[in-house]
Amino acid sequence: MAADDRMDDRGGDAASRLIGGAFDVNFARPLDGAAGGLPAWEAIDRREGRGGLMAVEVARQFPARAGELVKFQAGPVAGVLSPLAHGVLRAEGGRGGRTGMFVICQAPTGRALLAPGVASFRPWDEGTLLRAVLRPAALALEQLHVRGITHRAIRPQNLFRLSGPDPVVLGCAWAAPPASMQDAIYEPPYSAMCLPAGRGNGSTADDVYALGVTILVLALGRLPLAGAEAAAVVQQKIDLGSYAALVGEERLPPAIQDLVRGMLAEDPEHRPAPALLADTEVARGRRVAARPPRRAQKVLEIGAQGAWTARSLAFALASEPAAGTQALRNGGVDRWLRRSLGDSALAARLDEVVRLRAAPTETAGAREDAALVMRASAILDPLAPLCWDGIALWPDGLGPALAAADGEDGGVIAKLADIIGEQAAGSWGTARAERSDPANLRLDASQYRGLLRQRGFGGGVPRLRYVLNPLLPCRSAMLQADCVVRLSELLPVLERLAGDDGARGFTGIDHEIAAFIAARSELAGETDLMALGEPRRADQHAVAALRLLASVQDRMRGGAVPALARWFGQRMAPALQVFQGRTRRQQRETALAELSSLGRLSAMLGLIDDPEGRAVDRRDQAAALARVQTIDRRIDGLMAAADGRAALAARLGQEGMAAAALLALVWVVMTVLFA
Amino acid sequence: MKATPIRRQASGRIWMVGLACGVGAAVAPGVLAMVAILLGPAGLAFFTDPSPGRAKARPVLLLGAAMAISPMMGLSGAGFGVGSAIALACEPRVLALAWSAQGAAWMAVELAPWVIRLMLDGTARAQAMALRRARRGIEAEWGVPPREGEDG
Repeated sequence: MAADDRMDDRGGDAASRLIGGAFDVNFARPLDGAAGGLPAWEAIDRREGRGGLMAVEVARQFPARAGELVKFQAGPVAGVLSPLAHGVLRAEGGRGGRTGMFVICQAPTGRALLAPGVASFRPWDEGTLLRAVLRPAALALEQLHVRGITHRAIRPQNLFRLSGPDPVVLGCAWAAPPASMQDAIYEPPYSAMCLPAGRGNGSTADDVYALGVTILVLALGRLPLAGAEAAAVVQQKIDLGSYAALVGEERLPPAIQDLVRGMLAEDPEHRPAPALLADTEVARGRRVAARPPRRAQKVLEIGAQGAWTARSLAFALASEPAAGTQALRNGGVDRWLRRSLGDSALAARLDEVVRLRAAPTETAGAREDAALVMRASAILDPLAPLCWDGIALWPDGLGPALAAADGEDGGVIAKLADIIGEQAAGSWGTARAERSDPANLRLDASQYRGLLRQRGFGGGVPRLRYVLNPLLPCRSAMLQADCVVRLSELLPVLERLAGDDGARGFTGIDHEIAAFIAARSELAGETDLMALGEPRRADQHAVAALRLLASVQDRMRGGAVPALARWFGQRMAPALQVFQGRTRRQQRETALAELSSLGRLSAMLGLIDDPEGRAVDRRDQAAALARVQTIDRRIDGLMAAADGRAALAARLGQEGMAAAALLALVWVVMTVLFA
Repeated sequence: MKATPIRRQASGRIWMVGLACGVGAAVAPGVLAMVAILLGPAGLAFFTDPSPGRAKARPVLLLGAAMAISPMMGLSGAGFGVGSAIALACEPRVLALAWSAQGAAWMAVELAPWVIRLMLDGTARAQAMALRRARRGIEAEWGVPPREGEDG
């Protein structure tokens, strides 16, 4: 457990003033445009007295890139505004500020190559582009590639340089899901067609593509396809190819043209590696012979889309799933593939899928159709992302997509849940096995479906959302005014809520908090999570909630939480009814009240979760019941023995008197004889 | 009809008593006269006692016999004559003592069972109360329902 994951006895307040225990944010000094569209402020490293930093605010709907932040712990990368720390800040009454999660990052020393909103400008010359943009950016990408990091936010607005001859640095790309803030022109069509948050980490080849578009924009002196909708941009890239769609009839300097053409190759494997781009002469001379897609003799209409190639057919099926399903099922696609496109091998592969899916199954019809289109798209265009019922995403973008869609768009969240429930990622990986790792995809899909189907508070979309987004703040309605990202931050916030006037802000553990704990802590018991989802048993609900929070307190070695303990103490009395013995129960109630004031949840739980005590209680109860039966038998015996007592009294009276009379006789005889 | 063994035994006893009385009248008429006078109530009780084994009459008879010892010693000094026996036995002090002792014995044998029963019932009631008290304690401690017909 990392040291910063632990709560201190001051309830995490110390951690809330400085990020990572060192970085202070000056909210009076905002840095507009420094974080590629995200709000940012000047930050200072208090520990080392270093400036030149910025704190980038993470939007609640779009979690920061946890994996990349971890990889940067090895140190910053030259030529990249590298993240140094991340954490939560809380607004303080007297000092102002903002509550939320922030990524501390190196601040750009210069301005962005292109200010937001600027559509046209003076084109850059070839030498500057190669020297100041391509070469340093390629070197930085190579460094990132070595670390296994993708940037996914390369665009002129997020590249910075101090002055004319200075090399550019890549901006901050760590405080939002990968590529989620990229316009469609900067992304390969297979990324641009995805949900913004579902574009996934992608590969360095995608960064090369974005760098190619950036160089193209700077060389043209304008934004290509300006004003076009994202869908139209993707459509044009699919139909014409990225280079043709973006460049059109424009003429570029020969060196730039050669480089950009290679960098905008549709197949990521055909794009030059960053190391190659660093030497522009070699990169220019590199030629990858990509076979042009086979074009059909006539168009196939899928809804409002027209398909001339297998790629465009895949895109049309993904964009128009209802019409696509119909065309697949009525044989229109098969005929077009065989007769117009002349690709009977592809038609045969697709036919297998259609016939398999045409067979009646127990799966609901809409999901069946979505699965059919998804597999057909993957077969028709192995480069395409996972397309499901009108949405598209890369499997590793599922977590951010869930986070971004949840609460905002019920339709998207339902489709994402269907993707998980149907293990679509596994099927998608199998359909394009040459370009993915089907075994791992199937394994992940199976695990995610297990979590989704898990009943109670330990499963469903909330659990998955937190599992797949390690830096997503807890979305409980109680915590809306706060920001809880780490498990260690949860109890101090709940303590504060429970300690508010009448604990009005605290209503117990809800689904979001339970799912958050379950995802962040492996210790959460599934039985407790099930019990929490069972509203009819209020006592079990309270015990399960207490057990969950006690495990958090123990795991985090957290400070005392007396207000929280008192809140639970007031609701634990029904749970103590498991102890049948009144005296012991009253003793435990008294002890519970005393422990509440100490704020130790585990100790409170020990009074209820006491198997030995309950065994003793049960044993004593059985003994008491046996004693009652004995008493009843004896009372019955006494009542039934009345006649027997009368007979005994008569016998005793008569025999006693006889004995007394005999003694009197003997005494008289003896007296007379010995007188 | 054949006689049962008990009837045979009873009639045998009567025969034995009759024989003893006959032998006594023949051998010691004085003693018999004194016994008849002093133990008359006991004899009456003996022959009228319905209890098994004449349990009520036995103490009367025994106590009467104890009161008859002293007059009998006086009769032996007077030569065992019938007249002497009647005179001694009819002496008011002797007769009153013998008969009042037998009356007291009879009263005691009638009262003793009643008193003893009072004591036994009292003891049983005290035990039952103690048991009910213990039961109420268990009921309160363990939530056991009260005995049927008792409101606890």
